[in-house]
Amino acid sequence: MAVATGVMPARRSWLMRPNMLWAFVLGIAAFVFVVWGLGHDGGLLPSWGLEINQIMFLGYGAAILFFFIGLGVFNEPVKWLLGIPISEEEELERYGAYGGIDRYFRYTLDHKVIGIQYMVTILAAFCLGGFIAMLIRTELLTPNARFTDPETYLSLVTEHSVIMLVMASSIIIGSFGNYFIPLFIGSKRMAFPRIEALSFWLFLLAIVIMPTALFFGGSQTGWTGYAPLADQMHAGHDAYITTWALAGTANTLVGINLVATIWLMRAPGMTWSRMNLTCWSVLVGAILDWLAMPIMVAVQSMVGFDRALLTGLFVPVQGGSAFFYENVFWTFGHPEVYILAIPGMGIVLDILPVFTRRPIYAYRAAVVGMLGIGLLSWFVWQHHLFVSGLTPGLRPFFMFSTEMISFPTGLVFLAALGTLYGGAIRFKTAMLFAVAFFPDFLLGGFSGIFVSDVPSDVQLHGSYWVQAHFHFILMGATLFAFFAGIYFWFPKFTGRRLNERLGQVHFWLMWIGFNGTFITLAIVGIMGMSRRYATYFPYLQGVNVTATIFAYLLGISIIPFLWNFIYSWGWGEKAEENPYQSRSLEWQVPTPIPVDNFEEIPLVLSGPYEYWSNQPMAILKPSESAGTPAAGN
Amino acid sequence: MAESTQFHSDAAEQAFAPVPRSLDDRLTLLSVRMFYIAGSFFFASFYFGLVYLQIMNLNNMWLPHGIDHPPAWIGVSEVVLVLLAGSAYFVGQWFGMYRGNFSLLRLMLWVASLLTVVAVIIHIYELHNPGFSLQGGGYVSLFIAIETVFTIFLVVTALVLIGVAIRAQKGLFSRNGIAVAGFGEYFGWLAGVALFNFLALYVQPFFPIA
Repeated sequence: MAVATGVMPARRSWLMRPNMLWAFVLGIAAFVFVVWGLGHDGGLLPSWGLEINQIMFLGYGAAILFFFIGLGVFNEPVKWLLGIPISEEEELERYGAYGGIDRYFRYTLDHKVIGIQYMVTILAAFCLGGFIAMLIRTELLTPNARFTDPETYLSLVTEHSVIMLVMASSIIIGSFGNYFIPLFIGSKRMAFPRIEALSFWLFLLAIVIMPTALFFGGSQTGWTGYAPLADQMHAGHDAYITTWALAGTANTLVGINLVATIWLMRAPGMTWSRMNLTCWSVLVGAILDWLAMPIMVAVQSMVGFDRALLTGLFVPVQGGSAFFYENVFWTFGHPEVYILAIPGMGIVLDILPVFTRRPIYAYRAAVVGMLGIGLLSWFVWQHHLFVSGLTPGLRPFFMFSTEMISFPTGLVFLAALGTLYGGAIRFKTAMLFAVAFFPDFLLGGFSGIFVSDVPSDVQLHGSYWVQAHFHFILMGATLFAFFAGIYFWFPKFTGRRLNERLGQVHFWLMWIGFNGTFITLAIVGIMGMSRRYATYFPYLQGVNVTATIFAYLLGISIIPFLWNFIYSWGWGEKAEENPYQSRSLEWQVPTPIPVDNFEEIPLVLSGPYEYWSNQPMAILKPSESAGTPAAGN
Repeated sequence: MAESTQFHSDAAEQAFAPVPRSLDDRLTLLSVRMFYIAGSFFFASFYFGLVYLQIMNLNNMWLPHGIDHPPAWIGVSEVVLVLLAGSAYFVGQWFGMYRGNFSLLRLMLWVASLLTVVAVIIHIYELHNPGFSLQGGGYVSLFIAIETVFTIFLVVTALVLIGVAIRAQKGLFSRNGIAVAGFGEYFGWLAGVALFNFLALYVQPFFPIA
């Protein structure tokens, strides 16, 4: 192969090859042509009898198709199906063998490139969603709607929530899962590189399409998109449906790919009990992705049928039911919470042993805990419907099953506390973010008890208490774990260190801003303020102003991080190969990581937390090792 | 990168012998199974609606008087065509993999492709002429939703099948037939969904459960 000989075939110029620029040009052109060119009043499509929602779905469909044509997604599959050979240049480029920054803007199949693509897109989406949150909090500085009308306010709420949830669905699995899973398990690649790349570009499209709703009246449903309200929305809600259909498909593909990789591609000796906890947590999240996301795609396609074909799946006068939507939606919705949260648990549990120099405490209990949470997440969905007219006889079961989740969660906390206890703790930035995960997740759990309990849920449902509760889970846990991961693995991505002082500034600003905002909003909820209103009673202004000031602090906290991230990537202090003396496999390969990760499939001898052991975790070149010890099974 | 296992069918016929499953083969089978399990969750969401809306029967609009399924020959021919296509694929696959009869495999791939395309055409005809208004109640809504998503699955299947048939015509096979077998499993699942859809949309609603 050319990579081995060092002689690479010449490439066509940058513009002549499929890339992200062509993808966006073609995608936007196709959308504009269909929606404004053919779909304007008196245009070809209305003359055929097509309604606005049908035209919108056609527009998004055309945009997606031409985006992928511009990206070159279909080139190899079509050639494969027609039996046309793929050129060496194409194959090498696909696998990122040429290197260079342009591989990040192409349909590249290297899992490390895809992991970085996810990470940068997630950071961009977080900044966009966060900026919208600042607009929302600014509106809530005063009891009356001053900057926006109520409809625009609700559109902003929907934009913020959908962008953040789509982003958070992939925050750990997409970035760290794709980048590190093959490295963790001693594999040269993911199981299905093409599917992996496709999932990223679907995810990117989902993020890009959601803001287009604002050009068509927006969507005022919030992230839940409840029908029949969704059936009555402006054309902007078609962007919501398309976004979730794309994100759901992307996450299903990610789930299949990660489960297959972990299941079948572990190196010899990499037994289940030698996998690190990030790997376990990604596996649990991936299983939930694989099974729950198709349900979301199904329910949103049903709303699409109601809107485009005027069927009545969720319209009572047409024999439909809003409860049908709510039940199916939350069958997906609650596992979704753990698709976000569980992978975060794995990351922080992996970081604790490194900065305490202790093996993880109760490894098996932590694994059982994460598996238990994943399993129980399927049996709790109706606690979201306690006040919607659910048969009262069902309430005790769902109250009980929801509160049962505390038990496996307790096992995860046990592992964390046991690891910290008596450890030689070094409070580096990664460790600060990892440790902060636990009190924030705990606050999320405690606040959740009150909304899983029927009598208190009846009082708190739809209030800011609920909003504070899920932000503690989604942001306090997931986002803090994400930042912990970035600070921890940055030297592996880039060969450089993030500035520690700026990191500490980032952490303290974010932690104080975050807790200040959402503890205050929990109080606002107890005081009786409902979610999703641009106005409120004047007596609530003081606490709302307090929450907004903390929210600004939270928003500002991202500035030192972004500066640190960009500056350190280019000009930061060079890092050693294994700056933490970690045993885990990803730190044993050189930086930058070769395209094929490992020269040979390694032979794994022990687990990643066995700091007492004198032997390495794995032999990286088993063929050169005489008298290799048995790997176990 | 995985080594290519493609080679000409003549060589395959000569060298045909069982070989141990490679990693890529195992991955292929696992992914196909995971894909149709995900697909089952997808369709189950619609089937839940069949039970739920039927039991709720809000405003007596589950199946209002005068609403009937499209002509039975359409439903029967749809399911028969998909089952025949699946059977043709299975027969071709069996003779190709276990008897080395690649000419029959090639023929049966084209037969399966043709039957799938005809099934797509009949589905489109059915959706275009369902014989009821799309605002005609819960049953009608679910009928349209389920048949439309199934048609989309069928269109994608037809495209892949035609591609596989073209590759087979050029003599490009996977050495031990795992990719063929994997697609066969998927086809079996799709035929199962077609049969279930027929029972759920053409038969059961007219023997109401509530």
